Amino acid sequence: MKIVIVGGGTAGWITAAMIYKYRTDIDVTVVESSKLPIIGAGEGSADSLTWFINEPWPNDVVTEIDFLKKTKATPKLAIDLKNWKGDGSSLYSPISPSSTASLPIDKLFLASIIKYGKSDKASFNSWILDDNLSTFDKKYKKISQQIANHAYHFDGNAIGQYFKDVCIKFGVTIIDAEIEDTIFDENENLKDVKLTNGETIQSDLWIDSTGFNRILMSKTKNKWISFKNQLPVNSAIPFSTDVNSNNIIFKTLAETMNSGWLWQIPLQNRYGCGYVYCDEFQTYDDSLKELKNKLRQDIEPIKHIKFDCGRYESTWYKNIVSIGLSSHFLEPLQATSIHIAIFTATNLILHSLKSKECISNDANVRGFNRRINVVIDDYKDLLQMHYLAGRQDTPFWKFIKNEIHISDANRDIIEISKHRLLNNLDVSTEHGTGGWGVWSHIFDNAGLFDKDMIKKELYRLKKLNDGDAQLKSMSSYYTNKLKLELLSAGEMFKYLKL
Amino acid sequence: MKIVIVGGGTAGWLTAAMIVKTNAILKKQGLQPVYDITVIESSNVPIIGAGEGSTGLFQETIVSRFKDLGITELDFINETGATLKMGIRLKDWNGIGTEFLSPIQPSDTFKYNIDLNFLSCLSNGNVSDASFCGYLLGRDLSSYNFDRIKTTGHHSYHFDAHKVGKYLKSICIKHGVKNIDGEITSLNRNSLNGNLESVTLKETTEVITSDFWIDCSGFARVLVKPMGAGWVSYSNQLPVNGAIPFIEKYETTDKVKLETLAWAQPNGWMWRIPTEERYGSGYVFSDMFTTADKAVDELEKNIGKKIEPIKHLKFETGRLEKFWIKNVIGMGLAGSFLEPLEATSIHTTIIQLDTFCHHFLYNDIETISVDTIRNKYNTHIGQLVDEFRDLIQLHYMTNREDTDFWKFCKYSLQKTDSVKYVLEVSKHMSLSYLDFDSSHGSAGWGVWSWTLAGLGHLTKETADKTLKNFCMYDDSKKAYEQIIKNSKIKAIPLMSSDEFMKTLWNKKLGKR
Repeated sequence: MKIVIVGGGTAGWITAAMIYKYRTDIDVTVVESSKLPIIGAGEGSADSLTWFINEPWPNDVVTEIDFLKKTKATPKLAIDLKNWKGDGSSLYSPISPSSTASLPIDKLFLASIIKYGKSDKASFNSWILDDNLSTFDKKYKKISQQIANHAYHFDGNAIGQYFKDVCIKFGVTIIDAEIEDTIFDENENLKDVKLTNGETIQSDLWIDSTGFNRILMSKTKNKWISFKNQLPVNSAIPFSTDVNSNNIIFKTLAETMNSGWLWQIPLQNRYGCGYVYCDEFQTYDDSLKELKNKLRQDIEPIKHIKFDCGRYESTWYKNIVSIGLSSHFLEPLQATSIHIAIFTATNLILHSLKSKECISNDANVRGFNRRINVVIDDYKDLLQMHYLAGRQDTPFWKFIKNEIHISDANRDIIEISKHRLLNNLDVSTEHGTGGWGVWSHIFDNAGLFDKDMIKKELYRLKKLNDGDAQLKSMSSYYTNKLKLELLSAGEMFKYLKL
Repeated sequence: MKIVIVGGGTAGWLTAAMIVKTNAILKKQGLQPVYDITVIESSNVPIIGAGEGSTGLFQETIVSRFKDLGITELDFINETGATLKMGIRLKDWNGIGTEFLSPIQPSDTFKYNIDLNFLSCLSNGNVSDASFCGYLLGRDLSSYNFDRIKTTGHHSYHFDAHKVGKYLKSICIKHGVKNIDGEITSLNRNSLNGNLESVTLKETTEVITSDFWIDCSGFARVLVKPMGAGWVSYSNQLPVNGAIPFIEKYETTDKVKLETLAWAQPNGWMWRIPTEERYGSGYVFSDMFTTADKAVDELEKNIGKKIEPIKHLKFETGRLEKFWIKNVIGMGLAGSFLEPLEATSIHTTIIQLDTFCHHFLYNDIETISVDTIRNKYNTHIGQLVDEFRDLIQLHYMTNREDTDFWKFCKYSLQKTDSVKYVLEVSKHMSLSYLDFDSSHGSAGWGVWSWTLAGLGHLTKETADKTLKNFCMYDDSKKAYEQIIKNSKIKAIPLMSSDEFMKTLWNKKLGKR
């Protein structure tokens, strides 16, 4: 079976590497142009990338430390959600959930809300971050995943290159050219692709990883579904600031601004930053001005990105599959882009493409698209829920408070939360979705856990409920043992840069 | 909070027991029990006693969840005349002379993208050996050690539904459940919010009030019907609509087999379920193609002995459009009825109760009775029952064309979307858990896989191809040998099916 991947960005090279890692029956070619810049969106990931990197590779062509060093990466223990309520408060959205997250009553989570006023203390990640530690185990000289898992922050331009180098070791065929023309047959299948180097190529299946250009998919009749009315932002100004090891913390900062929010991601050589905003409420110039005032320094924007949140109706259409920004784009919050790219590639490579006949099997393609759409839509709802936390001081936040179209799933959740405590059966359990571990903290951020309701419930279950005691033993385990085993963030940062 | 359960069949007493369990936990903690439970049943109305078999979930319920009520597995087996159920033997479904097994437990690797154990066994030997439970089923072994204490735990039960109802009733009564003997003549609803406030009983004209109601009155649906529940019929998608249950005696030479026999017949199929004293058997058929009398003749000819039907049951397969209306929930046969294949009825009841308790989480009725919560419940349970309908329909997609009934199933039955999907995709590749509903209680790939392989929709060739493409083909040979070797070792201390049941029964006789 032959697959041609068009586009040598992050999604394209991750997909190629995944095929080499798991399959020998697929012949892969990557078409990329050295003349086109990559978007390199996503300087952060979810823990699916951690899985992809750490699950053993043939001949150890990928190891975690090697990956971290070459992509200027740092570990990511949580997202720090700052001032989403409008009162200056912060809440971590940790990579690892509480250890009781799979129980019908997430005891630690609830106990944390009562004791600390917020849920994140139920996860060790928060404790570690509050002490500026890393999860690097001094004794075993490696990053531990047992108690507090991590994702990554990395240089968006370097990660594609990293997996390209991996593929070159595997012997990938690379064609350096742009697409000149596409020829479809009478069934809308892509037959021939003419390249600018004069070559014409064929393939059984095509993967479109050409980012926002959507070079292959945009030629089909596949429909675009916009999330514009549900997700409020549409522009981004990325920039960098200096980093130093003395104040490094392994978290993504996501702080609200007048017309959107600001990300700040620690890399080894700089902070990757950006202001995501809605241009209907604030101009580019005003946004820059707001940034400069806030950071009290001059800003040099790398570029100005405009985007339309949404997804294709079908990620897999005829013999083309879109992976990466070419299939969907939400926005940078929660670093969903690479996560969904990995999820899509995994579904394709490990499940839905078991043989060549699968490509023309309509039912198979339908099943694949259903699974991908469930995941994208779940994340769309998750991101929207971030905005419903309560801030309402500027026209942008007033608009969200009063006028934004709340998705059906979120409306139901909000309604239910008024009557009883939410729990893990209230969120989607489908493979690849955020699940309770992610959603629960975002519910908390949105104020969906009424303290009196929790108290009432915990009282009723008082002898059954040892959440408070568990929280105490968690605290003493952390202070007396875990804390002493871990390198500080600054020490680990230096170790990575060596 | 007061809960009234209407109907004293299996579903009614199981429901009562599940709620009693919640009370028992609270009481153990020195707290006030929350639920005041009453069961209204009529000694004049016989119970249907559907479901003489169940799924692994029922075993889990009896063994782990009811531990607090003082129930143990051996007690339950002794008291209800139950036998273990390792799975189902499906005979003649894909043509006369064919046979396959559907074990209770899926393969150990069913949660992976590539179900290596399943594919290895399909490729190299008997597919049912992919599950240890299937390994035992194929070799007439029980899951119990010689000391009758340790079990590998992979089984469900066959039982006499009347006895299970009685047994659970005795436990419930011990734990303070009130029991009223009476028939309901009328419902009294609140004219403002439409809630059911009370019911009036026949003869005594007693009025019973309650905060919440659970309708377990079987096909009569005494509460949900007057509450205006709509019905979603499956009669276009499932071919059978009648059944004649009967009793078969053990022959002295019979060895007890821990399996449900599901034997395809000219116009439907026959079940034969072993319990302590007898086989509970029956013929499920379609009256479009045969009559009850003719069905008896057909069956007698096929099994070579006379039968005496207990009754002739007519049913319409389907489910309530909404299971939860106002302050009433339809449960058991009052909520849905498929047909006995795959024994889904009690399983659905348990999931309905799980979900019900999940939504309540010890809250009171008023706070919870909002449309959003009810809708979520109804959607979830509706999808679950629909998925079981699909699973059952798959069994009728066979190679048989020897009668009009089987021709009808093959060519004219309206295929559901899932069945269409599964059949189409299986032509080229093996499915995985990703292809199925993953909501709480659904069957998923683990259960579907046996029937797909058994009916030849998923072939050895397809399995080989998948294994080769993922460079697992050579490993699969080793994997297969390893699975068989491990199972063999694990099975050494286990008693044979016949030995286990008969030792248990003999011991009981000794006691008497």
